[in-house]
Amino acid sequence: MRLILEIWRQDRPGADGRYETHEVVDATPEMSLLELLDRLNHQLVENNTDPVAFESDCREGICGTCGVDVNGVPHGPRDNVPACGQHVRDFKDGQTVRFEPFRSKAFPVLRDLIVDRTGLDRIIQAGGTIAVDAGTAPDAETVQVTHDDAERALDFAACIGCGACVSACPNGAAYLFTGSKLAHLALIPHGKQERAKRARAMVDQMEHEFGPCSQIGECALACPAEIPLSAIAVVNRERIRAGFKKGKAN
Amino acid sequence: MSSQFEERSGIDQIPVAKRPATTPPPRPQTWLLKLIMALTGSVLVAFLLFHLAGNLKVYLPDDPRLHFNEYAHWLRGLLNPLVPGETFLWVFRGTLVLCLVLHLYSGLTIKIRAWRARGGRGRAVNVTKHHLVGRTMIWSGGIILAFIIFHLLDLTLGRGVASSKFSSAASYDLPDGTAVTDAYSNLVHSFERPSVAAFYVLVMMVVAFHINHGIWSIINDFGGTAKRTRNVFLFLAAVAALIIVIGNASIPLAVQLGVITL
Amino acid sequence: MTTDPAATDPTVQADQTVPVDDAAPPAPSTDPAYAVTRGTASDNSPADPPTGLLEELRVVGQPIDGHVPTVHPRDAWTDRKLHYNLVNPSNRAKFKIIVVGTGLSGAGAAAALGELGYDVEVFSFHDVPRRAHSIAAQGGINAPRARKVDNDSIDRFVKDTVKGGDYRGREQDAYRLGEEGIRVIDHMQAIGASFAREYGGQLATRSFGGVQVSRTYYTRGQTGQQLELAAAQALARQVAAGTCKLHSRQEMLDLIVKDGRAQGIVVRDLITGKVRARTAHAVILCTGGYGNIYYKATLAKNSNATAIWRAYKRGAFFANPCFVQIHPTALPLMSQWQSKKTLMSESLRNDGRIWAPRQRDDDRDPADIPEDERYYFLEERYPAFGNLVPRDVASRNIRERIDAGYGVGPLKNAVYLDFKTGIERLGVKLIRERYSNLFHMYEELTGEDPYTRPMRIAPSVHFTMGGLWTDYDMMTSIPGLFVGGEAGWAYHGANRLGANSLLSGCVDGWFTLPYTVPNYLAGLLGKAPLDPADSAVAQTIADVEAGLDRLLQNNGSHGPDHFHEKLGAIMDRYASVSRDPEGLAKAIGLIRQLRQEFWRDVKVVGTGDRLNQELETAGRVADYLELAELLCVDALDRDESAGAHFRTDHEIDGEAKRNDEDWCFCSAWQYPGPAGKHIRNFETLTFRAVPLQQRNYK
Repeated sequence: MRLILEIWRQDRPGADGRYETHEVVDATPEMSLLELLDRLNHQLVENNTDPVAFESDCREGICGTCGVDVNGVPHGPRDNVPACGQHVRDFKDGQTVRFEPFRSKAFPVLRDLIVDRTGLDRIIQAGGTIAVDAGTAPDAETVQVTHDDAERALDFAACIGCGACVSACPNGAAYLFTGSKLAHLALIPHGKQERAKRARAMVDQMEHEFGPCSQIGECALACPAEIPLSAIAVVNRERIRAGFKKGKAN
Repeated sequence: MSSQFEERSGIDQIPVAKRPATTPPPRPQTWLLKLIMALTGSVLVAFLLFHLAGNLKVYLPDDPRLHFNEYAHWLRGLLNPLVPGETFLWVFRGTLVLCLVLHLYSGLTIKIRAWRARGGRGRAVNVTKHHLVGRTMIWSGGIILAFIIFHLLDLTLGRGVASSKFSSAASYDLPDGTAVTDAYSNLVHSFERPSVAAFYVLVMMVVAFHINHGIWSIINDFGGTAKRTRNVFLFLAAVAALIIVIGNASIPLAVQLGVITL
Repeated sequence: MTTDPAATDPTVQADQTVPVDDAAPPAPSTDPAYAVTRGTASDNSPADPPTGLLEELRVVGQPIDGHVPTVHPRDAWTDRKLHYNLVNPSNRAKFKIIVVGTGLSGAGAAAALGELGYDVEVFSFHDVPRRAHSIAAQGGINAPRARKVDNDSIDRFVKDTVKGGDYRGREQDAYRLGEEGIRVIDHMQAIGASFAREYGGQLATRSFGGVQVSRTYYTRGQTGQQLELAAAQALARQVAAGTCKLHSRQEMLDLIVKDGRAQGIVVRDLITGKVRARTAHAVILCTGGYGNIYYKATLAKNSNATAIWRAYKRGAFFANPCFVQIHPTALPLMSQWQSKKTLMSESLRNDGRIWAPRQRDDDRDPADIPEDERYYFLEERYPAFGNLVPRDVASRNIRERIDAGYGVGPLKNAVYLDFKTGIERLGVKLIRERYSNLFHMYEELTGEDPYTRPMRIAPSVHFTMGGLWTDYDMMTSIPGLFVGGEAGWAYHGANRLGANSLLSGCVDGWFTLPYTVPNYLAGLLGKAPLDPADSAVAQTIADVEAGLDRLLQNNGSHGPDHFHEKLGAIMDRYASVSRDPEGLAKAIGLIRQLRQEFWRDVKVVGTGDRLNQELETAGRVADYLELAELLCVDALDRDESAGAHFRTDHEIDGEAKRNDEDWCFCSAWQYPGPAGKHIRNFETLTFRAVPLQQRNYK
C-alpha cells in the first residue's frame, strides 16, 4: 500500500512547527501505525535525514507512552484503541494520513510528535495517592472488599495515563483522567481515608493546568482503557462532596 | 575531535520534575461554575416547560383565544392578593434574568478557559469526530440569547421586529368584563409572517439541542455517577428536547397551515 | 576513549581464533524423530566443544562471598536484619541515595527510603515514573500467604522457586522472597492495587505456572499495571512531599566510582542532550532486564541494558548472563516491520494442538494441508504430555522445527496452534468462553480469525534471570552500588517461576533495600557525598561525552537498528532455546565481526544537543554488542544444561541434564578491561533446605 504521511515537525520546545509530507510506498495492512512511522524513519535515516521523533514503549497498549493525533483523532481512527493497536488496514491505498502531537496547552511539544505529559503526573502527586508507609498496612484479608467494588475499582484503575482524553477534548480537559483516579481510590478501603482532601487537591491541580469539562464525550471514545464517561461526573461528585466536609475530614 | 557538548559548568544542575502548584487555581473554580450552570440551567429548562404549558392553550378546542388571554392575564396577577399587582411577575422575571446572566457568565468563563487550554498553535483544524452538539453549546447558546431578545421585542414589547398589527392595548374583554391585552392575536399576527414562523421553528430546534445536552450535563455537573440515574437523565434529556421542539415549533407551523386562526 | 575501533575493541586480537562463517544454518535433519534420537545419543557421543577457544576467551577468577547468613536458610533474613546497622532518624536526611529506574523495585525503593526520611534522587528515562515496563506484566504476583487449606507454606514456596530455578539461585534469597511476599500483598493493596476479590470479599488467588497450590494474587490480566501504578503513586507522594526528587527523561550512561565505592552517576538529558553528573552516598540500579538484546522480544521497545552494562564496565560483576527465559507461545513476527513480539497466554496450549507441515517450505494454506501431512511433533515426541510439555521443552521443539525449515507464515518463523480439534470436541461456545479475549487480541493484531484458521505462534525471549551479581544484601561487587528487580540475578536461578518476577520487584524495593542500604550508609555517617568538582566526576563525564561524540561522528551508512537486527538474528540462531558449543563459538565470532562492522559503519543522524532517539538507540546497541559476547561466552563456559540454559550436549531424553558436581555455582563475570580475557568468578551455592535433585517433569 502507498500512504502519504503528513507529519508535524518541530525541532525544539517552543519552536515553530510545520507539516512535512512523506510517502511510504510499501506499507502493509497488518502494520500498526507506529510501525508505519518506524518504516518511515528507516527510510529517513537511510537518506541521512532526521527521523520523526515519536514515543512508544510496550506496544501492547498498557504503558501509555505512545500517543499521536491521527487525522485529528487521538491514537487513530478506531475508538478505544491505542496507537500501537491501530492498523494501516483501516486506511485506503493512496490515502493521506496526518500525524500530529497530542494537542493541549498543557502538553507542550518537545519535539515532532513528542509532548510533555507530566501535567497528568502532577495531578497524581497532588493527591492521587494513599498515605500508607511501607510495612504499616494491616493484613489485606481483614479488609473486606466486595467482588463488585473490586471490579468497579478496576474499571477505573485501568487508565494507562496516555493523555488521549485531553487531546480528544476540544476543551483540553483532564476530567476523565482525574475522575478515573478519584473513582478508583474512593472505592477501595484505604483510599477512603483521605477522600475529601484528595478531591480538593487533585481538582485544584487539574484546574491549574487543564481545561474545563463540557460533557462532550470525545474523551471516553478516545480512551484506550475504555474508562467509562461517568468518570467525568466523579470529579464533580467528589469535589462537591468535599465541599460539605470541613477541614481535613474525609 | 570537537565535542558536541559545550557546557561543562553546572554539571549537577539536573532538572527536577515540576511539582504540583502551591497557589490556588483561578477563581471561581470550574467545578463551581459548572455547578452554577447546572442550577441555573435547570431553572431555565423548568421555565421553558412551564412556558410551553401556557403556549399549548392555543390548541384548546373551544375558544383558544379566550383561554390564552386569560392565562396571560392570570400570570401577570399571580399570587394576588398576597403580593400586590405584578410583583410576582417581576420577581419571576428577575429570577430568570439572574439565572440567564449567571448561566451566560459561567458558560463564557468556561469557554474562554477551554479555548486557552486547547493549544495546538499552527495546527490544522480538527474535523469533529462525534458530538457536534456538545462542542457547539456556546454557539447554540448565543443563538438562543439573540432569540430571547427577538422574542421579547416581538411578543412582549412589540418593538422593532414585532408585526405591524401588534397591540399592547387592553382590547380583549374577558367573560368577567376585565379588558386585557390580546396576546393571542399578537401571537397569530406574528406567526402569520412566513419568515418569522420559519425562524421560530429553526430556533426551537436549536433550543432542543441545547437543552438536550444541557440536561445530560446537569447529571454530570451534580456528580451523578450511578448508571441508572445517568440513563434516566439521558432519557429525560431526549424527552424534554422533543417536547420543547414539538410543542413550541408546532405553533408557528399551525398558524402557517391555518390550523390556528383568529 | 580513542576513535580507532580496533584499538578499543577487546575482541579484535582474538578474532583469528574464532571460526567465522556467513551464518548459513547447518542443513537440518529431515527426520521427524531427529530431536528424540539426537537427544538420547548425544550425551554419550564424544563432545567436541572448542575447549581451546574457551581458554582463549576466559579465565577462571576467584571464589566470591555472597555474604549469606550462616544460620539455617529459613532464619537467614531474621538473623541478618538483627545484625544490620541503623541510621538515626535525624541523620537520614543527610544521606543522599540515587535510584535509577521507576519500575516496581525502583519506585518501591525510592518511596520506601523517602518515607524513612532519606534524601532520594530518582532518575528515569521515561517522562513519568508509571511508564516503567513492570506495567506490562499480566499474570499475577505470588505470595505464600497460605490462607487456603491446599498445603502451601513458605517452605513449599522456596522449594518451588529453587527447584524451578534448577538450583542455580540462593535458597536464602528465596526464603526472603517468600517471607516478605506476605507483607507485599498487604502493602500493595493498601496503597492502591485493587486485587481481585472473591464474592465473600476475600482476596482471590489462582494457581499459576505449573505450581500445584493457589498462591497467585491477580487483578484481571493487568496485575503488573495495578502494582506499578500503586508503586508510582507512592513515589508521587514522596515527590510531592519533597523527600524524593524526580529527574525524568534522564538516561543513566555511567557510574562514578571513586575510592572503590559507587558515588554517583552520569546522565544524559534526553531533551537537551546535556551530560551531567550527580553524586550520592549510594546508588541503586533498578533498570530491568536485557532481553531486548534479542532485537525483537516481548519487552518494551525502550528496555535496555545500558545502565547495568556500564556498571559492569566500572567493576560490578555480571551474574549468569546466559540464563534467558523463552516463552513458547508468543505472536511471531509476521512482517519485516513488526516492531516486537507479543505474549499470548500459555493456557492456549490446553485446547490447541501444535503442528508444522511435514513438507519443508510448505507454502499451502493450512486448510489445504491434509491431516497426514501435518506433523503434531509435540504429541508424537512426548506422548505422555503432548502439547502440555513444560515451557522450555515446547520452546525448544518449536524452535527446532522452524530452524529445520518447516516454519510457516510469511517469514517461515512460526508453527501452527490449531483449535480445530478443540472446537470439534468442545464446541465453539466453550472455546469462546475460555479464550475469547486471547482470540480477540490475536485477531486485532493479525487480522486473522483463529476460530477458522490456525494461529501462528513462535517462542520469544521475555525475561532474563541473569543480571548484576549481588550479595545477600543486594549490594554488587562495588560497595555502595545496589540492585533491585530484573536488573539483578537474585531468586530465580536458571529459570523463573511464573508470577515470581512481580514479587521479586516488590520485595526488593519495599522490603529489602530499605533495610540493606541504611546498613551500608551507617558506616558513612559524617561523610559528604563526593564533591561534584572531583576529578573522578569530570573524568566519567568526559568518558561519556567521548562515547557519544564517537557515535555521532561515526559517518557510517546504516542506522543502529540495522546492527541490532543482525545481532538479534545471531542470538536467536545460536544462543536461544538450545545451545551447542560449536554454535556459540560461531556466534562469538559473528558478534565480534558485527561489532567491528558497527563501529565502522554505524550512522547516527542528527545532533547530540537535543532529543535524538537514534543516538539513544546507538548507545544501547553498542552495549548489546558487548553484552551479547559475554552472554555467549557464559553459555559456552557453563558446560551443563540448567533451567533455561539448554545445551544439546547435555541432555537426557530432551531434558536438561544438570551437573551439580562441577557447576553448582553462580558465574559472576568481571570486566577485564578493554583487551583482557573475560574473568569468571564464582559463588558456590549450597542447598540445605531444598536438597539437590534432578528436575524431572515426566
